[in-house]
Amino acid sequence: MHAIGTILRIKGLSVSFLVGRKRIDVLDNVNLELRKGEVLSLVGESGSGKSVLGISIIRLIPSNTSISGEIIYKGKNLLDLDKDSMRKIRGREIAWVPQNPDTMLNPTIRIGDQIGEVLVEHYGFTRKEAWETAIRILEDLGVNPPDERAKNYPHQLSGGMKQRALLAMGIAGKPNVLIVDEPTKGLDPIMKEILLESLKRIKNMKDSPAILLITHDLEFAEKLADTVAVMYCGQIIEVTKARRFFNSPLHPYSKLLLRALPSRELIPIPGKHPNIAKPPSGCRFRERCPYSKEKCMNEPLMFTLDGNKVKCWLYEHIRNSSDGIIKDNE
Amino acid sequence: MKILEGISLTKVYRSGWIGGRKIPALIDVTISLEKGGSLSIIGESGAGKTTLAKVLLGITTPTKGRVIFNGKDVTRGIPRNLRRLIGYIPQHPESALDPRWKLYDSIIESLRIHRIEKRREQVKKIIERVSLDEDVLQRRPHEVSGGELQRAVIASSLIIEPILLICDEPTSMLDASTQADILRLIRSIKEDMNLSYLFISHNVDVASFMGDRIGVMLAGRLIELAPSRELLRNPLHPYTEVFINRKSVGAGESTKLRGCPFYDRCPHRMPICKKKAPKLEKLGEGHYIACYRYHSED
Repeated sequence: MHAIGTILRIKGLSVSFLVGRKRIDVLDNVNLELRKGEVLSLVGESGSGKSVLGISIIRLIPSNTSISGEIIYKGKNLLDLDKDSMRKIRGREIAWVPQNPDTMLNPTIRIGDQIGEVLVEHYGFTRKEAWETAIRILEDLGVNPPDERAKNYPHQLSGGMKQRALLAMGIAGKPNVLIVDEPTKGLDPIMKEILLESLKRIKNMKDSPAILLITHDLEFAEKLADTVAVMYCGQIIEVTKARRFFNSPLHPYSKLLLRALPSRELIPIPGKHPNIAKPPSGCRFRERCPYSKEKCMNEPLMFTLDGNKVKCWLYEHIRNSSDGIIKDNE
Repeated sequence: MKILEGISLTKVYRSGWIGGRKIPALIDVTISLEKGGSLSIIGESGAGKTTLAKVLLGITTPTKGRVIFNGKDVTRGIPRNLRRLIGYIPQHPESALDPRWKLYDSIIESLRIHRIEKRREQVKKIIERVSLDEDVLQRRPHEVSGGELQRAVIASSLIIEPILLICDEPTSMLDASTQADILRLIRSIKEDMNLSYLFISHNVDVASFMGDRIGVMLAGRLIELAPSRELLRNPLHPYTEVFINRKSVGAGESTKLRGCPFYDRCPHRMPICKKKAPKLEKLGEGHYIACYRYHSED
């Protein structure tokens, strides 16, 4: 059954890289739903597999990977599509805003032409029409003055401005789904604020795309997300409404992760993120978890609590009760 | 006793055809660090934080001003015997280490440069202190995580037993938990080894955790300096207030020699602010500010 308003549904997605003769499972049985107009923030530490999920959706994963499961968009499984059909979806229906604008922008082409490229490619615009639309998009994102910036080359722009240029490229084709990968990397707080403003403008646009915001910057996610999904060592371990997540998250890992923030207690999580090539058996967080018990040697099921989901044995007996059993200051 | 002083530091970079264009990166900055003290510097990208670090480290000579380290004038470069008393932790650990070398070789390099013997014991002691596994030392930078890499860089800067550490946003690229870990590590090492440090950051919460005092930089100038708690509770400069409360005020401007650097964005601007930049002056106990709202033109 499709939930109402679901635009993208990921079912049992597993991705493995083949390195030499070794097979490394990067994503393990990921289930996730993206609803129309919502911002779903995928958070987790580097190396947890967040970006791999992003590029799996638009099928830009390298050839040495094996992928299984389903990615359902408009009733079709994207994993079944051939190259040409996928190309028609990429950019036009599902757009991806990569991290690191320095390597993703062409240094020899003006920003305005790079933004308009998707319109020429997919929608048959002339270059002039595309240029004018590009200026309008920059204006919509709050870029000032938009016509001057459109004429610039990437090296003439600040990091935050380049990131907004990438966003403009992302939304130029009026996609239904926008995947934004680590947009705040290397930006100072003021640049982040400006980028946040642009993303909020996208969110408030008419027919705004659903946004999958991949980030390890929890403070940024807090300002934008409707729902938060937490990834740990290749698995989704919690999916919670944002307001609840930032006040009292469900999974022990989420609690400890929030506590590590500079604006909170700055207390590190004990132990290390496991190597994804050799994940621990059972619950992958158990070696670092203060609530770890015998049962955690078995892989936890995904429990539902007030419409939120958590993959932790602590919630085994309270599937549908009104509150969790772990208090914040234990 | 002061361990480090920068007096009226100005750095002007030249670019363009035969250096015709002048870009002031640091304008009349005076700071000092007490022995055993810690000072954080905050500011947005392009504020001159890294230039300040480079000038203080002797990597770049200032156009004007003086640098005093441990009582000696080192403005024109730091002699080798003093050099080994200063450690440096850069923002990008991956660019600080040779990608072809094993971490072990990178860590002992400074011992080799300063011709210090007893390598093995020294390495053992230091990697234990920064909680790095011994087998990690035999790997190359691309084979370890960001946190392990930053620990290796910290180990290589501490192995010469410096008395001063300059940290240039060492955790801005790390995950929250790893960041908390590394920050606490640097702070506790400061206590054990009786270090002093200068900590550059663009995160206010990190800066106040790491420094007894915080200096705020904008467009090459130091515009406010105060004890950390005081600055967070009672920011006086209009820019500091904006920066701490993370309000949006539009992008920063490039450095200029005349007028207050915040003029274009300031809600309280006065005609005088455009003509002449205010000087940093003392207002309260340890609280210094450069703004005409708090002191007059002269």
